[in-house]
Amino acid sequence: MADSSAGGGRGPAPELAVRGTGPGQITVGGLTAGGGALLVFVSEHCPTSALALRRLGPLCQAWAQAGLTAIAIFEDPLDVAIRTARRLGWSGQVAVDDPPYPASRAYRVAAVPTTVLIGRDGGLARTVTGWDQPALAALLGEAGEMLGASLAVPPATEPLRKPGCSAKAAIDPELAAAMSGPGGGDEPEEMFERGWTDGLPVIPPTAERVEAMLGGRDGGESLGLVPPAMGEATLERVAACAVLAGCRPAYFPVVAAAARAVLDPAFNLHGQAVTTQPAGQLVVVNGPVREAIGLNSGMGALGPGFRANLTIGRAVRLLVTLTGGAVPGAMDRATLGHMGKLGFCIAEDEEGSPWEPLHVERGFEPGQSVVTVIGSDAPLSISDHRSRTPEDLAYVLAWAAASAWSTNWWPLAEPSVFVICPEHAQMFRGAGWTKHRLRQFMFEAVHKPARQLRRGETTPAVHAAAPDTPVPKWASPEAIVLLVAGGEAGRYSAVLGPCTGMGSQIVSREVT
Amino acid sequence: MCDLVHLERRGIPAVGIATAPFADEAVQQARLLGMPGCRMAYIPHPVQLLSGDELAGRAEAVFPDVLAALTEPA
Amino acid sequence: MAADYVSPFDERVRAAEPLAPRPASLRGRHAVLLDIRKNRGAEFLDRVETLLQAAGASTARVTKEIFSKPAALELIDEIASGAGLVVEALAD
Repeated sequence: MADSSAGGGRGPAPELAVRGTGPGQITVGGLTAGGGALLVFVSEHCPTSALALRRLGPLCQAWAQAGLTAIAIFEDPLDVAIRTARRLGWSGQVAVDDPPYPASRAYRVAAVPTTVLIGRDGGLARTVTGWDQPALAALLGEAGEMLGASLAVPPATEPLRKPGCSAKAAIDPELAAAMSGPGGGDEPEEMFERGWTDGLPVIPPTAERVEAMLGGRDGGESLGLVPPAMGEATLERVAACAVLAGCRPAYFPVVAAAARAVLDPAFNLHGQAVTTQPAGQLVVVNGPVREAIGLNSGMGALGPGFRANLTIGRAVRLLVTLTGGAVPGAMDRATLGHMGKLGFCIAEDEEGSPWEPLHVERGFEPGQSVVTVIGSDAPLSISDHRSRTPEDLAYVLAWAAASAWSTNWWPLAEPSVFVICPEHAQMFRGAGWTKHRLRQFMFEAVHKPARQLRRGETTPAVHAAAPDTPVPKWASPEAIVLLVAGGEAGRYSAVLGPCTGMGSQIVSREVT
Repeated sequence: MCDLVHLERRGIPAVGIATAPFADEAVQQARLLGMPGCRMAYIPHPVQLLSGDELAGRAEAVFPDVLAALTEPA
Repeated sequence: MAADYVSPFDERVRAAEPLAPRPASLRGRHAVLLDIRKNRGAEFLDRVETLLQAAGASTARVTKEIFSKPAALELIDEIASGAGLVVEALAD
């Protein structure tokens, strides 16, 4: 547990050659240049290390001013170290000791956290293992004497002492290799350990399953590089994602078409994958393939319960998060995100719709099966049970979207996707409204005078307009996308807000 | 980061400046793109609501890191 | 022994590519400031530009099309053909 004198011998501190964010290696000489150095060996997985970083972190700046340079040395990848340090409020330097952890071995770090004080002369002054507030206070007292300053100590609050965790450097290499090798028989856990999931269990992509998923297609065909990691989306890898997601082989042509669509540069998947915006990739399926594979466009169209919908959407997202590396909390910086990022595949109810379906609008034949991808926010529900005229209903639908993305960053060029339920669609069918007419009405209905929009963050267009000039929600009626889906009974439609500012185009691909 | 990597490949020393929360992402992306040594300099977050003087101050404070990134031997 | 899986990751090992060699100083070098067009970036780069000039570099300003996409390779080529150094900012 806590051992405050293990390193008390005053020999020279072993040399360091660890990596930080700056150019070159970090050395003992560099760290002690200001007076003294405090090395804190830690590990991302260790709760006691987290405690130490949290308790010591806020003190680093004041220490630096007094001449004590504090550095947290992680036995993890650099990006993990930076992220962990930030999260825990560590304000000192951050570095990593790469496998086989030479710095940890040189300093005989058996457990993390281990705190080491090095004097100006490069001498090893004192070591504390684990979390031990009294011992650390004494260490800082000694450091203060060295520097002729009074150094802040961590608060004497519980727990005063806590044992550390085994350091990677201390683990026998063969044992470590055995521990990190493929697990015994627990395949689902194995998938989690490899990081091959989205947080939910997956189907292990054995060579056999992937081959079945490919269905005779050439697995070596490349669909392009998936940003942001730029992993290559070979058809085999796309099939692996489809297997992981739980797709049946019959779904694969749709998955492949969706993969091609999101990888079209016009879609700007890169921007969507790493943004702080909530955006997920909505996948809309049209054409005969819907019925052929059991895609749901009726009751619960935007919710769970249907394997084809859920697994196709999931396969596309796994391609983005695994092959593309856009893992939430890491490369995917979405502040909140939304559950559609688990997978969001919907099918249009073409048979129940009074209008031409999305793919026909976009230039395809009705009999073609097509996938269309759109960067989208989560659905906002629109309740309307009482409108008796198409104008009233259209007004309600349109104004529901007024706050999508922002109440005052108007107009928006990017698409808002309306999913109109059959009962609502019936109102427009009965009145003979075309999609064009509805879209035009909705576009014109949602305007506000510029002065009402000048609150908080707003657009240059709003600033430039005269106070009473009406400013539209959408830059043009074309920003209003209309789909029909949902159960026969019930008057709830929905609108999905846009992903903005990244020039992302709606992209369609035929299912082949 | 992609831009920096492309420039370095063409023999142009480059540095990107970002606010601190970007650091782990930048490090990871540089590694994934095959150029882990790609250089960045960081300023504190946030910046959107800083005054003009404060923003200029951030630039002054980070300039030594910018200089180091462009002139320290690779 | 685990079943043979097909990994969703592109696990080809990339040998780390080297950085471009650095000059000893900025004096006499031409620095291009690449603005990624996020809000406040241009203003920030104004001061960086002044500092680069004070360090003896000549400067030029270039703007990226869309901040969330990598710059078009044509733009990279254009910058690379005239620049000695590049500073890209400001990501927030």
